[in-house]
Amino acid sequence: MATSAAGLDWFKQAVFYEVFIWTFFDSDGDGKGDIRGLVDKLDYLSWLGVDCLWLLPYYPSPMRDGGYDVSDLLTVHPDLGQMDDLKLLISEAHDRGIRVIADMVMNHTSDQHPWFVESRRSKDGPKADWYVWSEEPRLQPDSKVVFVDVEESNWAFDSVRGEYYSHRFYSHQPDLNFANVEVVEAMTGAIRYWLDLGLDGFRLDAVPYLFERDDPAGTDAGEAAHALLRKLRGVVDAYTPKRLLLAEANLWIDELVEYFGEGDECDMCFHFPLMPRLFLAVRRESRFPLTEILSRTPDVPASCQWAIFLRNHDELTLEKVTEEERDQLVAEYARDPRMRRHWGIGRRLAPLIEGNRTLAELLWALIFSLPGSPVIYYGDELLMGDNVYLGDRDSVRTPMQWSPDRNGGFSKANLEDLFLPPVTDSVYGYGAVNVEAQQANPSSFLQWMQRMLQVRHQYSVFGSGSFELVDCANPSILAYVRVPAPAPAVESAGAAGSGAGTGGRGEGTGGSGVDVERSLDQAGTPAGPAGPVLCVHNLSRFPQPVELDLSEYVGAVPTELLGRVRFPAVRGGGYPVTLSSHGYLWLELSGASQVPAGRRPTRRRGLSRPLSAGAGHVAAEGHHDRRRLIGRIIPGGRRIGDEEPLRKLGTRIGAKSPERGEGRGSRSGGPDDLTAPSGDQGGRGGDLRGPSGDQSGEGGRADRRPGR
Amino acid sequence: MNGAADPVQILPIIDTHLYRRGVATRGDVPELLDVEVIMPGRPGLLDIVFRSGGALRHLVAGLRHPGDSFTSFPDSADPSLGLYEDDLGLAVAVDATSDPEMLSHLARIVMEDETRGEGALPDASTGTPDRDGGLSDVGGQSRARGQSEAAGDSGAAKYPEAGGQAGSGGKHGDGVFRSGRDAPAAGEYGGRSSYPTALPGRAGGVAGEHLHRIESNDQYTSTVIGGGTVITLFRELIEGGDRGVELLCALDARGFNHLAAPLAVWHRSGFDLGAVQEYMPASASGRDVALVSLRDLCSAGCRPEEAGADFAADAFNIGVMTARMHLALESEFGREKVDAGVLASDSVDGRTAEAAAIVRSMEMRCYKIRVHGDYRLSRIVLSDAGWHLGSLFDGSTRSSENVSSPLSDVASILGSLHEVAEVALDQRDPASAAETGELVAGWERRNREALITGYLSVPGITGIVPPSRDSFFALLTLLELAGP
Repeated sequence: MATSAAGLDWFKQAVFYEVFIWTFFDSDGDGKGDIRGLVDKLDYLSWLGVDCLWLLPYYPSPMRDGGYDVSDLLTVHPDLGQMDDLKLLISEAHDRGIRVIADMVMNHTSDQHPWFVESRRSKDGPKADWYVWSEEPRLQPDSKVVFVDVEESNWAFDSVRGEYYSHRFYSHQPDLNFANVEVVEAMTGAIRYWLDLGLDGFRLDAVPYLFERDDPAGTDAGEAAHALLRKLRGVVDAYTPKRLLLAEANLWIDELVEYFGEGDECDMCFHFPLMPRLFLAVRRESRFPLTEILSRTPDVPASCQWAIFLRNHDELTLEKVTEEERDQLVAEYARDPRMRRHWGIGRRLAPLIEGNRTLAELLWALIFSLPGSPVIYYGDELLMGDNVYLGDRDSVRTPMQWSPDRNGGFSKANLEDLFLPPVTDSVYGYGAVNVEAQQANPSSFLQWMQRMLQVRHQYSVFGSGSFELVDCANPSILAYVRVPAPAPAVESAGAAGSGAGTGGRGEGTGGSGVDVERSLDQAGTPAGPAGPVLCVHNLSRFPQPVELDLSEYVGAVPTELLGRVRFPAVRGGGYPVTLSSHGYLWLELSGASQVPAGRRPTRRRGLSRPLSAGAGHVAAEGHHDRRRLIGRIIPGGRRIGDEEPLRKLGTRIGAKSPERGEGRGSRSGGPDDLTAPSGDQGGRGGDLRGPSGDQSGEGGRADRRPGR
Repeated sequence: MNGAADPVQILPIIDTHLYRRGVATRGDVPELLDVEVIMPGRPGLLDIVFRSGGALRHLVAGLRHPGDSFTSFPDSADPSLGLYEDDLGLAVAVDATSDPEMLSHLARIVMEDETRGEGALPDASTGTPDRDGGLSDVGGQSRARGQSEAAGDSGAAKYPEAGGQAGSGGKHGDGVFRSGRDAPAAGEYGGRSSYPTALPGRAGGVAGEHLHRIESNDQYTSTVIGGGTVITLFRELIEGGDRGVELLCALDARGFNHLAAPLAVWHRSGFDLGAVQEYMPASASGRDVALVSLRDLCSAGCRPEEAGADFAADAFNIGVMTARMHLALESEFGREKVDAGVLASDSVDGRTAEAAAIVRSMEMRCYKIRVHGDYRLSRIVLSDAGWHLGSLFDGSTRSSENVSSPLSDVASILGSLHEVAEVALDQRDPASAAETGELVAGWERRNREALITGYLSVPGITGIVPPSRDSFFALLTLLELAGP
């Protein structure tokens, strides 16, 4: 199993943690967080269960866009530290089994970047063509203004050069011209530079915007972006151990998956359409916003994975929902216009859901169990608040709240000197919400989160299992089974193992000066194989009964993952479960007389199912009339001509009898009614107090980090 | 392939079957109408149609070697029905609907028209349902017709399409993402994805296929096979043809796709014996979804449009689905012009006299068409692909040919909105009945409007309902008052 964690797909089992170094921890008292400060807090992150740090941009920058306005891609901002500090961070993190990826801002630079300074100087200088210049602002109909509340257009006039330049984001962020091979070379050079230093990969910023227009030679802008990504992937793949490319592409699902390529572009993409629908689902108390997007989420290549998240450093983007849904979300979550930001809502998780802890637990339970790797935004593990009075997205970038001390323990500087002021209100202020207090309190949210991550790490099925929706009539219940992937073939395990264990570091994993492979090898290794895990979620704020169709798992004895409480065995008929308000249950289904793999019924909507499984073509063998059968059974094949959009509504609709419940009376031998206690035994914090070591030991699973 | 079966041996099997099902036969002897060996050998299948207690009944008996071990569905009665002897020797007869392996064989046969020589594909050009062609597959025919029908109806894209931020790719059509209820299915995007409902294990294999029962009542059983299809077998048959099957095939043939698509219907010797349809998992009844909305509303205490689980978008889409159903039925079965006065006098009693008088006084063009006939929230379901019709094999949709004004279905589902609102009200604290009543009434008003708006938004629907606003609502009011 070590191969899966330390090998080519370590990111599938990883829990990511997004850090804004500027406001995380100030080690030298200058009022700004710094890299040394982050090093100081690595033990905390290790305790929490973080496997990979995602560093927001740490490059030199005028800081007019949170560091995304980079003025030098090849070093760190002097306020954050020196290059040696970064090397130390990587080395110390690796020692703890934590990987480090960094934001790579490729689309644009700051207008202070020497490249732009040079480019604007003349129309025929050496860097004249490094940015996207035009004599006229070329308005493209599909050219979205991202910061729609600040910028009117994507073109700005530069009085020095006497031309317009393209800027997808702020006007002080001119777009680089990737049609120029010199720019591509400069960018790949930067990527190699950081990989040589020991970084484990990149989160690629604003990937869909890399190319502004179709190439005169006829290359489609989108295709050019994919070609560039394949090139970058080639650069990154030259390194061992496996380095990660994680794409930020805020797109509709069908375009989004394009950035995985055939497994030859990005390893991961953020699942942007899922995020707002999590909030929508709990607002509507209905699973359909989620199942709808999950059913439309195509399989991703076997080597790839989704990154799933609740909140991040940006606004809660509402681009990828309908107007109706946007209105609903805004009405619910941003009643005050000050909360609106650009295309979304500028709030952190806790204030978004009005500090509702059970709802927060439900949302995180979903993020931790849906297909994909979870990404935690710093502070959300505390249910930290925000400050909507700060400009732009600074509202959600306030200092991490470490303790009830001055400045929340973030910095010893004077309040006036701080990079951003800490939150001080009575509900979310650092006096009430901080790491120290929550670590001391066994029933705190932080402790709950730590425990959940511990459990998640014990079950590799959360990272790599397939996803099968479970039938139930109650629309407020979302239930699914994560089914372990078939054991990997011997060759692939061997390949992964040798990849991780060669000790040859490619073009150089030097710099960090530690045996990366060895320490990372021990990290994030889930315990041995486990059975399928049933996850049941109550999206309603009221308790709900549900009968789950577990007929595939007859004979299984469900065991609750947090408390290791055994539930009554699955017999025929519906399996009754009762969930408290916003309750959830994670149940391991052991001992099921399962249908053998390959003959499994296919209710799965396997987000991580390998493409090679040939989804939709499996049934093509056989002695039936294949064409007709398959054409009819597979919804894609059942498309009806050039029907107008509305008609597509039901294309793959199938139905069961809506009066299903009426037949229940005649059932015999159903299991006794179960009640999952909300507070103490089942899913909620009660077991936090309990001897977690014993409980996990009972399942025969070692903690993933024995040393901790 | 088809052989004779011995009636003398069949009658005791029928007796046992009726006994196990608890059917009182009032001492009359079942009249055997038709027996056929549809799968010879062991395991084998006998298909039996008989009349008993005044009803047409249907039994599929599986034949197993004596001593075979086999499983039955957990909620089934003892499936064994006695002994049967043929050329191959002695066999144990079992109720095939209770025996997963037998049911799996049967589903394969039903879907495999090659088992019957005459069961070739229906002629796509005629579009006439193959009512006598043995085991008829409805696939090719309905697809062909669906295409032409759908292509001719291209103006209905009224649903607000948001976003439009298609990004740079543009390779997948318009790149527009329709959210929620009106989402196109997975698998429609550039061939990249497909909804994984293929049937692994179907090919060549019966054993190992996973089956589970989703419905078992006196009328029929429905069983999901392999996760992707559901087979319904009728226990009681309808004299003169099954209207539910007819409705299902007609709607599908006309490109109406808010339903579980029929993959095959089993028709033999003039009887509709069963159907195989697509199975769509994890759907919820319209009634349950409406109750979630009401529950949310009552506890939030705000206006319906401000409540989280607002139902109006759903109501609108139900209206759209209803209109499409009516257009499909009208194009399949035609329409009949009727005098509004006749419609009015059809349903005159004390409650409706005034409304009937109003209808009679108006000049209005009215049509009768084939309608659903039992159109309630509990008979429609929501899945993540949107709203669709639930089983058509329940109640009057199956037993009778419902012909009426299309507004009778609209009236019926509006009545159902009212009924569910009343249920929600009853569940609340009587002390706050006045406030809750106001909330719930607001909910009903809002969703009535949305449903009617959705209904009227579908191009072409005004051709079959009274065209003016006044006449539309006059007739609707009358039909609502008249009730089902």
